[in-house]
Amino acid sequence: MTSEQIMAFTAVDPLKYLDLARELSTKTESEVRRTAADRAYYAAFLFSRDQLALKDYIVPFYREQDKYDVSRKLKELKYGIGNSEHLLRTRRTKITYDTRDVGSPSLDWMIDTAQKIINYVKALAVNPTIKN
Amino acid sequence: MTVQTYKSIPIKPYELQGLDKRGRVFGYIDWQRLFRGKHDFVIANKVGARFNFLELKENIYQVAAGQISAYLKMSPVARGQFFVITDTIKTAEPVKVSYINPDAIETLLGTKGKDTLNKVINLIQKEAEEDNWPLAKIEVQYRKDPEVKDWEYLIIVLDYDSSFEDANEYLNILYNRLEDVAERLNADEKAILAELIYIDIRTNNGIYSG
Repeated sequence: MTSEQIMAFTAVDPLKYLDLARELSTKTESEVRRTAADRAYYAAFLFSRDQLALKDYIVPFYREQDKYDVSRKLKELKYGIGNSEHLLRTRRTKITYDTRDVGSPSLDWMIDTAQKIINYVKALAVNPTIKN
Repeated sequence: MTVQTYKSIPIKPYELQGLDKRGRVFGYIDWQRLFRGKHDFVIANKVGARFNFLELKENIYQVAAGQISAYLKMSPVARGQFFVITDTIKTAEPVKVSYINPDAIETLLGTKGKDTLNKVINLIQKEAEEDNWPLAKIEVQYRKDPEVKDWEYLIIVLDYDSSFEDANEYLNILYNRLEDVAERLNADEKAILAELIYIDIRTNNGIYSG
């Protein structure tokens, strides 16, 4: 980056995405609610990816492969959390790509699920199998 | 006939007898226990290969006397027990499983994977049967992930005749059971469960991720 370049996107805390999702979820417009659904998923996924990396469970690549690694690792650690993360992702995919009516679970379910995943990962200890 | 389920009571296996020659379920229940509860209709319920509880129902006397004998026959037996037999047996069939694209499923799983999948499906069937989940069917689907290249897996779709909220509660109960089972799996089975087997729910109002 040269000195003339402007930082278009500064670093972000994924938890802020969940706050944003909650704020947007109070609106009625479909495009806003779909954006909220998308942010709810990314809050859970990105927070999990960064925390699992920080706690020595995975090595992040900062691309699509991370979705597989996070899903698998969460399922290894606690099946219900990993499966919930996957369901959240598949629902977000449907909501993001399908412009028709989508009979998806409520946005509240998505936000609650994201929060549940975040709470679990937050409480997770550093990987005990890694030796210093 | 409409009868309301009053409650289920556990019956020790030795009190249960099995099928008679006409294929009817019969068992013994303590007379005092039956009388104290003021229940008037008993149905033996089959769980797997054993009969491990009876459902006690009420309001039988709203049914005409002639009909009662068609549902329930009782005759005293030794030592104060009551012999109960009924033709209206709720036989709990295991929930049916279907496989979409079975060749791809088999290729992906291999022999070890099939065993693990069967363990998960058996657990689901057992829980559904024992806890009376409104689970209509189980569908195993093969998937290629739409976002991550070369990621293949299976989704066990649980088709509930219920609201999404109820189905989601059943799913959370299943997670707890599955996590208990997962602790007893060997390393290969744990890896298969983590990598290849997902569970989703589909409900009668069309909610489904797929």
